[in-house]
Amino acid sequence: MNTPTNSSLLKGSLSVMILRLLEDRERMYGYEITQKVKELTAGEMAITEGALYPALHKLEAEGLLTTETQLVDGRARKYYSLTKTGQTEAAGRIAELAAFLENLNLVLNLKPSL
Amino acid sequence: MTLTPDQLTAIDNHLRQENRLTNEALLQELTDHYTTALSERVAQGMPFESALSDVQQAFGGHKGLQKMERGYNRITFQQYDSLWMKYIRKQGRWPHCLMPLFVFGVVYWTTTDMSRPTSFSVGTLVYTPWFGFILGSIAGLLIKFIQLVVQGGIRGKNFPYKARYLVTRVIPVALLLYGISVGLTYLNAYLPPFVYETTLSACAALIIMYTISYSQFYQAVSKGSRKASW
Repeated sequence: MNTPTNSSLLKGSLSVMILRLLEDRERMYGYEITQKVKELTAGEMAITEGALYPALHKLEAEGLLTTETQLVDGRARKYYSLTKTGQTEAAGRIAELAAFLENLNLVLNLKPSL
Repeated sequence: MTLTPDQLTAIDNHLRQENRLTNEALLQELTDHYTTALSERVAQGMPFESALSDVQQAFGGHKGLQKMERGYNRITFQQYDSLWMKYIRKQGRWPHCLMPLFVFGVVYWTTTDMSRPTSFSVGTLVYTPWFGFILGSIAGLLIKFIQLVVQGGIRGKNFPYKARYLVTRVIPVALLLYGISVGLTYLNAYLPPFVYETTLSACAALIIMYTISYSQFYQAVSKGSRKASW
């Protein structure tokens, strides 16, 4: 579940999560991303649409994502995928976040000094 | 589960009328999101109205949707700006620079050859072809602005984004260039001839660059080369 604390922690890592998901899947649309995160975390983490779309639009404006529109059931669906720059950037940002989490874990698992 | 035509109309009204969104590209994306999310919720047995409210809340409600559109418009405008700058820079390159250079030369030659205006009057403004062109251009932009507002409708604080782009970018640039040109008529008596002639010629060349580049930018956006078409 998303508590306020959870949401603020999520905020900083949202773009990296999007990049990682798109690294794994060739292309995804907004709703699919929200469902995938929910599925991967067994509903423990939910990306709100109010945070997801601005993040997607920002990444697109930065040139890390590209879009293509396809007709699905008579309506336009916008798919996002990584650009070449996005692929390079994704690898860097994921590594950076992983290193951060590793260090954070070290601090959180600190054993009380005897 | 497929939604009924009435439910699809309700989604459209919800986004356009109740939440006052105007950006067509964003509306397209949100319509797909709402339709997919609502189909799933309704299939799980949730009443349509509750599902609609539920999806809206996920976007932060009415305020969240409006904020999202403002952010989306900012990004769209930045993309428009860089696209327009690309066409402006193109006007400075060979052989495209021939037209502005030609206009610079013609205006410079004309102003040195003709008697310089010594006073400003409405007659000067209306009957001179140069100022007639200025008034015509500004009138054209204002007509386009009114047309966009009428087409898009003003929904609360949400102004149609195309009209907003005209007001915040296109019209100010035109007014600045034309304002300098008209202002030169006032300042003429206090300026050395060389400064008057060069500045006026430069303004004319810049106006030509602006007009051609804006026309190319408008065509490119209309063709949908940017994600949010004009």
